[in-house]
Amino acid sequence: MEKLAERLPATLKEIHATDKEIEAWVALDDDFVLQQAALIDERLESGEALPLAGVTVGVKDIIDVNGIPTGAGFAPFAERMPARDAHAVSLLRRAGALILGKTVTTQFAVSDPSKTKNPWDLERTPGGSSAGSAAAVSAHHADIALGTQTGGSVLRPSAYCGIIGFKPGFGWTSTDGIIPYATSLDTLGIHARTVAEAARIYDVLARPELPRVGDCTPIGPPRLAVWADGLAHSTEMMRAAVIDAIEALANESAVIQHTVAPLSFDNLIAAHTIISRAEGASTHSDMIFAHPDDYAPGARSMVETGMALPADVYVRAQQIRDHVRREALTLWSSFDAIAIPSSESVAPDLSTTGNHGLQAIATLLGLPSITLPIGFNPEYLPLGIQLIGTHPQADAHLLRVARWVEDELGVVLPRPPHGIQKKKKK
Amino acid sequence: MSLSSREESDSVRWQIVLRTTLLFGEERAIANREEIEMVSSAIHRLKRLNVNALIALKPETQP
Repeated sequence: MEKLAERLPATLKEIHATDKEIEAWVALDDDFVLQQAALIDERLESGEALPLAGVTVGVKDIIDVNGIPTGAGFAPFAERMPARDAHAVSLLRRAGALILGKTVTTQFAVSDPSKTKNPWDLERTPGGSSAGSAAAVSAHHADIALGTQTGGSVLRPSAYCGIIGFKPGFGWTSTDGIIPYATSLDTLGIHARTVAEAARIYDVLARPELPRVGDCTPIGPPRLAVWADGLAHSTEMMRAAVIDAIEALANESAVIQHTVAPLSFDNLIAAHTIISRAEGASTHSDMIFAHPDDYAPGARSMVETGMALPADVYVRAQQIRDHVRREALTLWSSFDAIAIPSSESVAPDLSTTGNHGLQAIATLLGLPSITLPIGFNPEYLPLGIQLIGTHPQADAHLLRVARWVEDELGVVLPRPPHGIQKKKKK
Repeated sequence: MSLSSREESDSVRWQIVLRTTLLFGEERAIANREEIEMVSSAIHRLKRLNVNALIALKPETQP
């Protein structure tokens, strides 16, 4: 069998070539990669069992990797060298995964657009904030990537880039070594090209007490609930595509019912807005005064406005969230998952990272969520369906449901050459 | 005397503008106008919800 250290130089050459246009990577050093490859080859030769042997990984640049600065898209952090790997990175390395490098993030994982382009169309955003992670997996630079989600930062870029994005339930693994933004929302997530691959990574990273996915045997046909208020917050074309996908699943014997949420979509988003602003302000309350001009406009606005929030409003938002969370557990307990579009629309242009509303509901409620590609729009841009688990610790169950949906829909998007070709034609 | 919804909305917005101005100066309050609108709207929405009644929370909308 070909050794990793022999295979990787060609892979790296290809990544460097296509990344000139996609710009998914902020740090990708060949020597750093090849040294790891040699070590993994040695571990395999010595007979060590490595569940993730040679799986290549991109790591969002707010997550510490020993030996590479964690820049977070913030100039004062350009030389911020971590003392050790983030907990998740150390688990991946222990399992034999190979860290390729750091992927581009929007500044502090907030909303200002990054330099990364969508591999399906270089004039469109890959989404954010885990922009480089989603683009790198979509472009087949890396097998998987780590991202984080405070609003919609794992699912939205994954949907825009036509891959699997999985945000497990809140607290599923340690966030040690990850630069925080809003501590009651921040969740590590996984970008992958298949549900089974996401499940394999989940099993390595999840806290010991959580159920494992194992071989990711599909659970099905599942009971899916369609949330009309969620559907209503997407474009007509997106809505139609998701309804088509749901009908296709119904034809394969999935039980489809309609549901409501304990609170309207707009009120849930209001609670998320207040909690994310208040907690973001708390995280940045010192640094905003030390380095105001180094903040991107959107991030600075969010922190400044967050600092002006009255405390009682934050408490009220948390109370509302707790009540809704409890109510949702009962209301949705008979379903395997809630189905809504993954994003409001297909990837918009590069002036924005898109709207986080549809992804933020699961983040607010601490529920696991996953996006799966369901095809393309007429412009050959990916469309996605989102499944939300109905219990905070239903990660493994949701992955098995998603595996069934993936199998039945049969949509795994190919490598996207189109964006690059489109630009070269001009 | 209770405020109308419109008066309450204006009051919330001006509180945020005032606090932002005190913390960061008038220029930043102006620069943050769009963000202030979004946050004020969110506050106004949450204030209109009766938190105590949420203990017996029922779905607001029907499909």
